[in-house]
Amino acid sequence: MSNRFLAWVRTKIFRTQIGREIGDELQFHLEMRTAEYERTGMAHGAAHRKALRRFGDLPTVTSECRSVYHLPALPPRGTTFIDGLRQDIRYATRTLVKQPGFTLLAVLTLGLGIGANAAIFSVVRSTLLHPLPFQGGNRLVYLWREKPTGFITFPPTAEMIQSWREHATSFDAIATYRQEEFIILDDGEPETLTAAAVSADLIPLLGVQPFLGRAFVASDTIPGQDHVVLLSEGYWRRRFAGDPNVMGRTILLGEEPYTVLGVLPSRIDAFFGGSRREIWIPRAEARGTVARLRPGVSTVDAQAELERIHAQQGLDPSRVEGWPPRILRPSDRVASDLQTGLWVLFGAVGFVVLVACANVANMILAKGVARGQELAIRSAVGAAKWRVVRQLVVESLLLTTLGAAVAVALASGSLQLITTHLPDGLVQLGDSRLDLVVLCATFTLAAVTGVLFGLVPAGQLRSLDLTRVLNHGRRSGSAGPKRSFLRQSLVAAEVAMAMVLFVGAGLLVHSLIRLQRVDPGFDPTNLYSFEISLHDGRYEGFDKQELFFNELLSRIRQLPNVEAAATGAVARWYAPMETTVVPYGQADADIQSTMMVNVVSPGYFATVGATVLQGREFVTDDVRGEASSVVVNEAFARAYWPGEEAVGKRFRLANRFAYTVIGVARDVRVSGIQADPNQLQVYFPYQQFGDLSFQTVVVRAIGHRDDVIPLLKGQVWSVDPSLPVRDLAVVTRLLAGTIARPRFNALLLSGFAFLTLALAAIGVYGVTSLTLQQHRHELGVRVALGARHADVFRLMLGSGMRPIAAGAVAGVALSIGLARFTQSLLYEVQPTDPLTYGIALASLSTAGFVACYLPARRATQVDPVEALRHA
Amino acid sequence: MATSRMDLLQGTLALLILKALESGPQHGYGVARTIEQSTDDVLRVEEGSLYPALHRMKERGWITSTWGLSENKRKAKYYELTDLGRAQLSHEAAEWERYAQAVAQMIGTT
Repeated sequence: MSNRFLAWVRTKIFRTQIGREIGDELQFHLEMRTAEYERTGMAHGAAHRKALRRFGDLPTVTSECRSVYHLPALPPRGTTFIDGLRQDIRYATRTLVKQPGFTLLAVLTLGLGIGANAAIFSVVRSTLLHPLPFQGGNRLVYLWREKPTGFITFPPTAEMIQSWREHATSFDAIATYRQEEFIILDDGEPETLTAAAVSADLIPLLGVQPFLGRAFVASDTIPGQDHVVLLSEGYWRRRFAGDPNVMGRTILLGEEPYTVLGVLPSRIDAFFGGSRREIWIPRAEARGTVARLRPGVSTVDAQAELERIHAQQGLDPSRVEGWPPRILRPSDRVASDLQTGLWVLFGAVGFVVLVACANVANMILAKGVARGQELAIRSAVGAAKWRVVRQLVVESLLLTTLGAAVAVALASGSLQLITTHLPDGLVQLGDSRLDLVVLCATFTLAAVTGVLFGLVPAGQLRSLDLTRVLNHGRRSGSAGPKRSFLRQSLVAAEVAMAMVLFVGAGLLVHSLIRLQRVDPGFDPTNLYSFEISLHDGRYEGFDKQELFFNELLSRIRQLPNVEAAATGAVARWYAPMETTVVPYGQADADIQSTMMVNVVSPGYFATVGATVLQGREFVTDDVRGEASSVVVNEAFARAYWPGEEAVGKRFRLANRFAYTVIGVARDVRVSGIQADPNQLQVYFPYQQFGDLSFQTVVVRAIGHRDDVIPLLKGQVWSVDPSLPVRDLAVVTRLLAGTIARPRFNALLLSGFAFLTLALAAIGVYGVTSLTLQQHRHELGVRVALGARHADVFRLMLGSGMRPIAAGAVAGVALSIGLARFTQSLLYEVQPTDPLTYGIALASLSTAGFVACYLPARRATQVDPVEALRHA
Repeated sequence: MATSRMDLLQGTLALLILKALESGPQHGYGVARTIEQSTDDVLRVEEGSLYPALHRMKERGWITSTWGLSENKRKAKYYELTDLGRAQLSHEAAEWERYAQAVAQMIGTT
């Protein structure tokens, strides 16, 4: 180490001292020799040249002398590799600064392409690839049970979890979790605090530790000792101002005192998909199940083992209690339409990058004209070929690094924009950020692009014939038919990709328009809804709950700007019920059906504006306990009594409870715009339902006035000042929320489509302008021979539009080929929708035409005399 | 014979340099001129060989160098024989003599 260091120091000293002395010595020799020749009567210049010739190769001799002292031979200019690189960078910077238009356009183009890519890649990475950003998160799996026919998953039963804990060997640990809610009075307004109720081993399973205080231990879940709580970092900062001595303090949860054990770091929030749990409490009984696979065990192995264990329990798999286990990876739990949407966006943004790269490649190719000459001269004056190639690569790398810098700025900006305009089910995106991996990927992409671009003109160098380039000047050095074909192909490819994105965006926008026009089956305007939860000791039993709602509804109805009020779900997601329907007088088929259950109060249908087509809706006189009456929807009536009058029919649910149909209501998309309208729906009167602990209140206001909101809150609190009013909003907004994902996808894809279109148009413009430049001479001849403006114009436009037409045709074919990927994102629009394709073609042709038109106009102004003189 | 110039055989260059320095310190150009003049310009010294040879010989300790002023008041590097160099000169001169005799015997010119 130190020897090598000394040698290095010595080399340094040699370079500066002995190295200089060698130079001086040889210089002295040359001077003496020059003087000698001058004495024979030669002029100084000639004598000096002769002395140089006589001496031989000065750099070689210098190097040879240096090698005596083990000094590295220096290249001719006395530079090292790093010096050379620095020189290259300086030279490249000068080249780029000398052509600000090209540089700006190329950097912006690359920045937009790579930036969009980095932003979407960040989203895909955090949402689909790493939904659980924990240590060893790729070995975390969720354990569920699934209906044998698929599609519906429920949490496992307590018995299943028990048997897995006893017998399964595929996992390091199996932990459980659920959600619990507490009411707290915050600033006087009652608020709901969401708690994660978890088994003691869940937090260690995630590899997370409290950064203050201690974690849960198994004994914390024992009833009587379980009044302890861990705070989330966010809640700790908000409520306790980040007090480091918070441990041991007591907080009231539902009137019961809990002791604070510690504070969890905010990264654990990701476990619930970024929807924060304010506090964590230890509870043994929960059915959300997460497990860590043992190293080397695949999900397939684990699935097989769970199925084996399940089979030994001897349960009926067709019954909901006996549904077989199902292992889901974290990414499986991301809604499938969200996944498809993101992958489509990811694919789309790949096209944007390709177009951006094609564009820059095209610009570089176009500049190859001037470049060819410069390179030929440089290599003629002795620059080694690899130096010239390196110079080109350095120049492109500089360009792409600038592009990448712009990209990073754009990406972090647009990520901010994306995450603040998140639709509801996309909460995971809240955690999307430009992380190291994304940054590396971005720069790698930029570097690869840079090297490839650098090699384009370098490849030309090989085929460049110096004398030809120098003798024939600009024209012949450039536009061989091969190169112009390459450029035109690139433009055609850009147009094709722009076409694909335009068609994709068009299809999504088209289905969004359709979705927005969907009649939900009820009237959402001026309809307000909020949720009341009576999970509270004071409301135990149906009587108290009914009393509360009767009182609340009557107080709300007294408000001057309220027309009607009722309870019953609307525009909310809720779990479908799985049960058997057996109509009287029909064979006992025992087939389970999935249906939406809606418990409603009298006046519900009138309030929300849903029509009862036959029979009647519930009235207050439908006394509870008596012959249970229900309202069903048209789909239900069609399914069980096709072609018959359904009112008055009777059926049994789950082979136990008997019901009489008193009305048939219109099919309503209760759970959202995209809900299946043919979903079976049953409405139960709330008087006959045993439990009203969780209800949605719907209120029809008069006129469009949000000032009804504080009045509604006031009425709730006049009945019970400690009840939180949850999610109070106008239903139109809730409905819009249910199509937030399609809107998000359509918006983003449209953005990409326009971006690509702009890039493609720039590409077309660039190539057409270049064609004009190269054929100035030819056009001049034509004009001189009597061609009219119109002919020239047509010629230019024709040559410009040809690659556009080819690209458009290829784009249509490609779009049809890719249609199946967007299929599942479309609503009542065919992937081959001719209207969408027509609009895309028209927009693209228009943009292409404009891009060709400008250079073509300029072509008509070619002055034949000038064109011929300067050719 | 005076009209054609002989390129120096590798190996004899060191001998000629040592010989040229025998009469006193010289700079590189002086060494070259001495060899050229004392052989009536028959032997032509390649600078490409001369300077690396000078530096190699210095590394071997046959000669030393100092910076001095030249006849035209320029800073120049002067080379001087060491004792080792003197010994090397007599050794190489003897070698050369034996070699030249062997060659002469073989082609029968003496």
